[in-house]
Amino acid sequence: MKIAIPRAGLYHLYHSFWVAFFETLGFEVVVSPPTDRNILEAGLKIANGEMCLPMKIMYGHILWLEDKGDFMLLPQMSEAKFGSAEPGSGNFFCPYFVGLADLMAAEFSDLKILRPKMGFHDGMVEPDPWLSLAQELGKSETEAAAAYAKASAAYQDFSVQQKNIKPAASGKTIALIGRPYVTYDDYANLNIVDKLANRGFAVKFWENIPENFLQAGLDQVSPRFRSHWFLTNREFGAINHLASQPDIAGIVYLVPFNCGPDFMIEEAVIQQARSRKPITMISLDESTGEAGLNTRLDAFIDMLK
Amino acid sequence: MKYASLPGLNLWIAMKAMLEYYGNEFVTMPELNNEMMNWGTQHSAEYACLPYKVYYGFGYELAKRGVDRVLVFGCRSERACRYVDLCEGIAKAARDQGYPNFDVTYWGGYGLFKAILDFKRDMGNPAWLKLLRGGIIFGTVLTATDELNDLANWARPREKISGAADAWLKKWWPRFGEARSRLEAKRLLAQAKSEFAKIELEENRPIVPVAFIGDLFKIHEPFFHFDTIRKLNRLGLEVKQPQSFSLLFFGNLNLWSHAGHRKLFKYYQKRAKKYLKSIPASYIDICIGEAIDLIEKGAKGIVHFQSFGCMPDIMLKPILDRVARDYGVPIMHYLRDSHSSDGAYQTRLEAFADLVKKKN
Repeated sequence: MKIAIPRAGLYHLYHSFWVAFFETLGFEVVVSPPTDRNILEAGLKIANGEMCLPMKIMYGHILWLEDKGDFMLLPQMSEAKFGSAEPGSGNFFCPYFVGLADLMAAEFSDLKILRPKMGFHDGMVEPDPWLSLAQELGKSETEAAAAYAKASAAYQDFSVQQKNIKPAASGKTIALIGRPYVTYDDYANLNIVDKLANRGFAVKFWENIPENFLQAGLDQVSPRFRSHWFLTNREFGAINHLASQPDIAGIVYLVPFNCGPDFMIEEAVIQQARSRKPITMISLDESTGEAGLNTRLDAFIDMLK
Repeated sequence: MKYASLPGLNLWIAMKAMLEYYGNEFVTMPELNNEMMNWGTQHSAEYACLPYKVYYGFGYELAKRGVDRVLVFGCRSERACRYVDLCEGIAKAARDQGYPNFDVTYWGGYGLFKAILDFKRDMGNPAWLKLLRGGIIFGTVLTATDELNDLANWARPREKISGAADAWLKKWWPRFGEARSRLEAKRLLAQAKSEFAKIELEENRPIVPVAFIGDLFKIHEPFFHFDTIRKLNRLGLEVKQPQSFSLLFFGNLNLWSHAGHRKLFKYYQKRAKKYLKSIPASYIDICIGEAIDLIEKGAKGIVHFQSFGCMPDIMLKPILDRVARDYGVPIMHYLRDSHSSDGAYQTRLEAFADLVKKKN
């Protein structure tokens, strides 16, 4: 049996868990290739014009995979616990990732979708939906538990790998903060990591920051001004933390154009960090030009000197 | 302290009745207008959704009118979308304009008991019995004014004298804001219904029903949708709009006194299950359940009102398309932003009405 997984959206954060889980169960995993022009253009034809760039890319990946697996994995993102705000606040994923399976079922009537709920507690993926899914796919309770254990270990390994930053010759580091489906998708972000590396900077992501520092960064923000959204709060925490780190030369904040969660706080984030660290916000959509991005990066780097 | 609520057709009437019963001052609500929208557009984020921008301007207008506190229900939950951020944004925008005491209070998300304790504190700590009675007044008025709205929606395409149903609604709605007990609200409802029976109707007029679907705060505000309901009525369509504040407010709570709302809410959720297994944001599930239910009960088309940049609406669109395809009814998505014009919209409505009537 083949399980298709689109290389888009939260794949960039959780693929190690997803791939290890299904491979341990003995299924073949088919992952779509990295985003390219064809994938984006296919997505643009079918996605709602109002959607953000990452969702348009998601449509393209699903189209690419449409006939390449027996099932498509589109988990339903559930609440995540993060930060010290009161329970029930600031832990929600973007609605597109909560309802992704429903959206795609409406668009692609023949698509067979696997849609386990994916929630988190204390940094661990909640096991029950995954154990049930394995059993629905004909695996025993023991096999399901083994697959979950291996997937969890892979997820932890991935988190550790993310923390290894290649040092730059200049010894300078720029923090690249944004949604993982933008910061890790080289086509969506116009190869910004290479661009920064070519200009002599190492790049640090928020996934490189230990959890307790992220939380401390978020705790600097009054609970009233924390966001409703999980990833946005992590960006907020990361930028606050990085703004006071002497080894960070500057912060580049990547925002997908028309991002529902981020638009609320982008100004607040920048205002809070600006007095402590050079920061620039770059908004990306499908028509963002590479030349424009180069100019903005050059200007920002000039300012750092 | 002077209070107000967010806009939304009849919500303010129930809030006014309750707050005044507790002895608080409730400020008369201004109607939404272009000036508010333009102010909000200038002061909110560039690609915020339309209600967001309008509410910014609305909050500023309230601050200018001396309001200290705007009360909002139902935030910080999986359905809240951007409401928490919106509340904070409205408050900050008005404070930045020189109204330092202006604030927005929102509840929910921490459990009902904590919400009630917070509410009691904000209302000046009335006795528990008084608090309960105020809640009952709120529920009765909200339900009654929703019922009046449904009656007016039903009568409007059938009335012999144009405007009779609206005049009736305009006369009776504000009176509910003065109700100081459940019995008084019930008595007002009986009187209003008795007067409603006197509206002359043309029983044999051919009427084609259509479903009007969308996010509650938007479909209940004529400003957002250029008064679509009345426009469709004038084109000979009866607009079915089952989503109401009482349905969503009491459907979320398990109260014996509002078991009917809870049952209907659950029914819509169940009907939506075929198309929506998650609750991504807002009341998408209820919207889908309503659309299916209305089509099965005879609605000949769907008008989906959406505002630019609204994430729940973006998600609702392809699912409603699928429902319309499966049931073979026409659907019209009306997307509005701050630049939309009434004229172009009217043309589309006329074309839609023609299509629905011809299919019928």
